[in-house]
Amino acid sequence: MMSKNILITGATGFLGNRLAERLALGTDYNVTAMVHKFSGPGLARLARLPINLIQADLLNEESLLKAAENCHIIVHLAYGTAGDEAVKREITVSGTENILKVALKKKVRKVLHFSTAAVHGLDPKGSVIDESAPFNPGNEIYRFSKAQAEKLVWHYHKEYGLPVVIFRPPIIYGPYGAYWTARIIKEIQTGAILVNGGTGAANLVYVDNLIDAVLLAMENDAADGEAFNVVDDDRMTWGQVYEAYANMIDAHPPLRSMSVKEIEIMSKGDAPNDLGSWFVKPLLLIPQAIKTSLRSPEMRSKMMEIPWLRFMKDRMPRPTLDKMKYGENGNKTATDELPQPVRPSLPNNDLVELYSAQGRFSNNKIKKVLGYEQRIPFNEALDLIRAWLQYQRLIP
Amino acid sequence: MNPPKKKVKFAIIGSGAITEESYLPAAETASNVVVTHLVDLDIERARDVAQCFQIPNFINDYQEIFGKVDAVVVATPPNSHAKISIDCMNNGLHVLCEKPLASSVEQAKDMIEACERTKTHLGIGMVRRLSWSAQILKKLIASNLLGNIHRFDIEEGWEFNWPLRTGHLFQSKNSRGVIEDTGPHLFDLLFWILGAENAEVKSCRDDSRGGIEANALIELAVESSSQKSTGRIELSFTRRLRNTMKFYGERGCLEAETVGANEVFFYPVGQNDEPLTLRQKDPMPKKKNEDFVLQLSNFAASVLNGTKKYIPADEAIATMSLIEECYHLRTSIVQPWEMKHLENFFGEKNDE
Repeated sequence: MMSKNILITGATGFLGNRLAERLALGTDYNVTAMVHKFSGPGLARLARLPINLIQADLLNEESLLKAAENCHIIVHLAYGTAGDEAVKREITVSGTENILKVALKKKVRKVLHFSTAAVHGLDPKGSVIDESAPFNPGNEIYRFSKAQAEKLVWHYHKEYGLPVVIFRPPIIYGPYGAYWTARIIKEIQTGAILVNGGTGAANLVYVDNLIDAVLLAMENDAADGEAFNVVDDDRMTWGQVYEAYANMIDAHPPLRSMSVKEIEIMSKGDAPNDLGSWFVKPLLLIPQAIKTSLRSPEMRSKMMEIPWLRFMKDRMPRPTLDKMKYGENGNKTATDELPQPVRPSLPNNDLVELYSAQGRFSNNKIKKVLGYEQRIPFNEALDLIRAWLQYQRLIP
Repeated sequence: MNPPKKKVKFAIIGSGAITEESYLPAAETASNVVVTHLVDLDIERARDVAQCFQIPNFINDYQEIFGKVDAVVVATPPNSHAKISIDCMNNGLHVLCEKPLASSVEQAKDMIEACERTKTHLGIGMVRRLSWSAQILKKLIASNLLGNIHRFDIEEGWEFNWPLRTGHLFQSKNSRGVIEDTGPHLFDLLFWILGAENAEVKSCRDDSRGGIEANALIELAVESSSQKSTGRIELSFTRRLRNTMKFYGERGCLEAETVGANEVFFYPVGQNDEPLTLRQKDPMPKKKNEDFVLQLSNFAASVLNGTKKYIPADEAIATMSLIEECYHLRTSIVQPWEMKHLENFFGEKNDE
């Protein structure tokens, strides 16, 4: 069989990088990865692969036509991440339309477009949410733009007969996942808050499971003209997810539960509650304690018996540690150079809504239409993530 | 009134990130340097950068500078260093070449032969040696503070954010990755600080899958007239590593940042948690590119005075040989999360 050419937009991102890796090393596809600029760790990771790298701009149709030369399939992952809201929207919406135009002009066999489960809103109603659930993206720029872009994809499919497949993944996690993997670890290291005790539904999909679905859809015409949720079968709560991540770390502040109401009050910063006495106050006292005691080797030694202080210390650059101990040029106190005290940060409104949502997305359709099966369960994914976090030096 | 200071007329060949970020700002400060020509195949880029730094001439063919300048900085992609440098030396120009000196030891030797034949200066941009901490490390080790050095451990890794203008590092079929990019600095520091004469790569593992490597772990042995030591160098384009070099001897360990700093740490044996700190006396706040200013000034002074206040190209041969050895010996680092579902490609192996 003649090998096919595939173009990936957004290839330097978390999902794009792994998709390029799976395609380049595990299939016969010739991969062209479109990059916006030649920089960033995502590019360095991508460039390890036997693929073509091509610079193009989603807002420049000419550059896209060159990128899509001899292309059979486009996987469109890129969206606006930089600039102000208007720029982000332009890149996500107009950029998608440019991809669709180019796909038509180049007679591309199929466009796989990445939308998001968030087009249904962060807290979609109903206990089980399938692909027919109504759109409710609100005004937030990412969700709004993604919903607009998806509408364009449907338009090009219906009006011009362009074969498309739409994916609406929920929370994608796994190695190199900045927001839903590394961020959670960092949050736990500095004091994570579980919204409503972590009882909300975590609609997760491990990155490789999602890519399994993409590979199926690329090969199977039954996917054309369809939208799919892809979510793992593990029915986790956010509490279980955070606990599992926390168990990877030897020492960290305890996970702390807060109700939505408490978070709202705390966010306004005007009411007493035990977060302050439990976390914020003692943590704010730490710099003062250090100020008076850090220069004593005995006290330093005692403080290093506290596991999470030891953990933090091991991650501080030597010059910073030294300045903490000795000051700098005799003018500054030891605390002047201290890093910010460890303190839990309150989740923002979107996260509170997401973490407290109870709805579960259904993956029945993709199972039925494409015969999809989840191959990596949560526990196995955790083992892989732990190995990655250690390699990345995010955990000991 | 003092007579005007003599200045060396330079052309800079290549107007990429290192030129814009380091060489041109440094040239503005170096009192014995004047850049009169900026050369780039992309003439629009050359014009933009030249205008930004008020360089009077921008051209796309370096041969046009012959007879018009005294010296050049070669800051093009590595696989063009040898040809451009040799052409320039053949036309009487002195060459300060950005690292790596060339793409192969053979090319580097051709460059050195041209330098000797034309009696020009050929310097290599090993700017890291000029830092206070590197100089102090070398002095302390030479003073035998550590006693016999048996081990070293060097790490440098960042999330790659160098504002590359073109994709040559990532796109060219001749490109190599972090070993060739960061390796020259670290191999050079290791050799220079230890006064090493020989080195042997014991193993080199990297994560190239047919493209350029972003991570590498090299184990090697180095030998000087008085001692042998073994150690590791870990490099990354995708991870923030420790970014220090450590030398372990009979009496303790010395540590300093790989990129240079105004501090060096000494861990006496048995007191690993509490280092003694050697700090530069009354350090001026470090100015951006000050090491590049010094490097350019020293090279210009050498051109004017016939001295050799720069790192001569022949000192790069040892590090280039090591880099070639690394690529020759390389095996794969295979990570479990990467191998998953790609077992056929990785052949069921896992080196980690």
